[in-house]
Amino acid sequence: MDNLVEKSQIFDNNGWRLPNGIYETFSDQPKWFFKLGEDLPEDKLAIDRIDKYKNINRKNDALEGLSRLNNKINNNIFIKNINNGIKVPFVIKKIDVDDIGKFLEEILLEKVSKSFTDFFPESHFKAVIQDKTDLINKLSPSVNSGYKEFLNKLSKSDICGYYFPQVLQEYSVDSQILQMKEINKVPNLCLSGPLEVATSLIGTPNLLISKTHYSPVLCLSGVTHIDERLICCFKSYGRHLEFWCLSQMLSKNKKQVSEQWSGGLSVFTEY
Amino acid sequence: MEASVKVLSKEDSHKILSKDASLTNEEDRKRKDQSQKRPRVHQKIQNYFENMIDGAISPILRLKINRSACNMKCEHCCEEPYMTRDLIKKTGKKDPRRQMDLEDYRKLSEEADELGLFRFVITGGEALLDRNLEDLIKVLDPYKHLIILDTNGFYFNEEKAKWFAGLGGYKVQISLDSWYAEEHDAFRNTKGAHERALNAFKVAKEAGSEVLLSTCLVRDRVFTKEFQLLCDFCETEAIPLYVTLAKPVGSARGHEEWVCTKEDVDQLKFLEDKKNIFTHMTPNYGQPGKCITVKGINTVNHDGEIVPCPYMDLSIGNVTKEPLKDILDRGMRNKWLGPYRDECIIGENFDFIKFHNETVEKHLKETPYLPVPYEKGFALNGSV
Repeated sequence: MDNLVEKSQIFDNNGWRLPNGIYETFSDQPKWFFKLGEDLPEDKLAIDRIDKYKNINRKNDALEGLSRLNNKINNNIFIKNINNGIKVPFVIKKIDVDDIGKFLEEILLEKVSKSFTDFFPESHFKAVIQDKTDLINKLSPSVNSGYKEFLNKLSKSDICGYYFPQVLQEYSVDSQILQMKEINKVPNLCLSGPLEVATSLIGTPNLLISKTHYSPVLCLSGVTHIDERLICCFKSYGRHLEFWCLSQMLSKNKKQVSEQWSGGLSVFTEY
Repeated sequence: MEASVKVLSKEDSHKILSKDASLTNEEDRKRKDQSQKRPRVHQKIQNYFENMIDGAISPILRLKINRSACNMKCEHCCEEPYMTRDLIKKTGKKDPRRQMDLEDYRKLSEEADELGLFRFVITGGEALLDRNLEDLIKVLDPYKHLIILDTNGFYFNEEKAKWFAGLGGYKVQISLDSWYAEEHDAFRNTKGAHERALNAFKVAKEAGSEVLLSTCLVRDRVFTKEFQLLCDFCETEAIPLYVTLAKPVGSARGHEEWVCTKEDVDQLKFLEDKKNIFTHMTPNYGQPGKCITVKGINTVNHDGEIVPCPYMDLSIGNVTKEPLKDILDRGMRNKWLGPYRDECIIGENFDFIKFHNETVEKHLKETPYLPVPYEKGFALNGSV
């Protein structure tokens, strides 16, 4: 039985998704040169901060929901190791989002920017797209990513959850999406995308900032750009925070597979 | 003077900048200038900008000429092991390998042009010591490429400034390692070096060339009064300040205490918002800040070996033996060199520094000639 469980493990002891020789990763095992996790706030502080910038409902219920979710993860032998990695809480008020790009561009980035520059008044937030236009009507849920289901649930209920930003560190974006095929039957789990990653950064604005370590680039692979050469991500630049809609092409026929790029998984629940 | 990166006001900072809107006024001005002065360069810049989304690269080619002969002997020099004076000390003779000649450079210029590359930096040692420099600039074609002269400024007087600008040279990059004259002269082991360098800025500007001040940053220098004074000078004189990070290679091998920490580098990134100060990793022309090995710069050694960073001693191929395109493609697939990463690997990543220095050390036991050929160095890293 133990052997069977071990073989069914999805995450290693660092909470990293095991690639099982199938998925394209930078290395077989990350060296974690790119790190997160310096002075991260407790869940309550992060939720308070989200409330300050996004005005959420029933804060205490959200915190209880997070606690229940945490226990649920710990009791699931197949996914419990995900809890060994860094996780960041998020709470999002019920909303029907029909254009993810527009919502990100017109609503979320402003709140990320405000929370970040209030927290680090001397730093900047910047958003750049390697394209000639904007994000409106450009982003849709990635195939099999679970993001469509996430948005469906969010259209019916308030949602709280955890974003695990380093689960898919070193995975190519295509492999971040592809590996979801194996785990998209796990309920209430999706490949991380703009809504909950941005919300996590609002609550935890120092997630990517460290005096000593470089942090990973947080890809928002739960959504795919209409031009598949482009991906969306948050990254630090020194003590600054940036959003980029960036080319993932290493060359004309080869996509990026980088030690620094990371996809995340989000585990969530209605509350 | 404009900051080196474009940042909107706090109230507008969330607004997404498109590729064109992300250019600074200075980047925009330089581009427009080229449409008038060098239409072929302008066309290549436009093509690169269009194809960036496909992963197109357009690195500077940095040519080390004249066996890196130099009139100075700097404490931190990464070039010393390539110089004839050092090789004669070690082996009694100069580098016996075939050196690139004008015909090789002509061919390289043509290949670079076909690939859409548009920038050559000419360096040494001290490039001005080369008697064939004028011929070299002509074969590189200063109207097809931007020619940037890297100099310590000692011999760059008014006459040389007019000569360079008259040939169609684009920019003069002058090194200054301290604002304090005695420190700079001592570092460079050359009395009067500081004064001559300051004069070089003046005459280069008067001749109409773009100028740039290049300085090498050791740990903690960014927080000093001296560095502040250097920044003030650049601001007053409207000279962009280009900062290189000290690397524990060449004459500085073993000086790990000179290696900058992330805190030093973060402070530089912080200053970029306020001043025209930048490193090779500063976001520019619609690209995020990142390590630019292969993608942003490659050094061409005297014998044609291509080294993917000015401070490395490991080659990715020899341009006299195979096409430049194949070498760059190979470099882009190398695990350390191609994939995206933020940090300067030879200046900050001790895993890479260890790999680099151990590989070089092993190679130097077999032969005194650098760089280490591809097969014995980068080929061991694996590809993506």
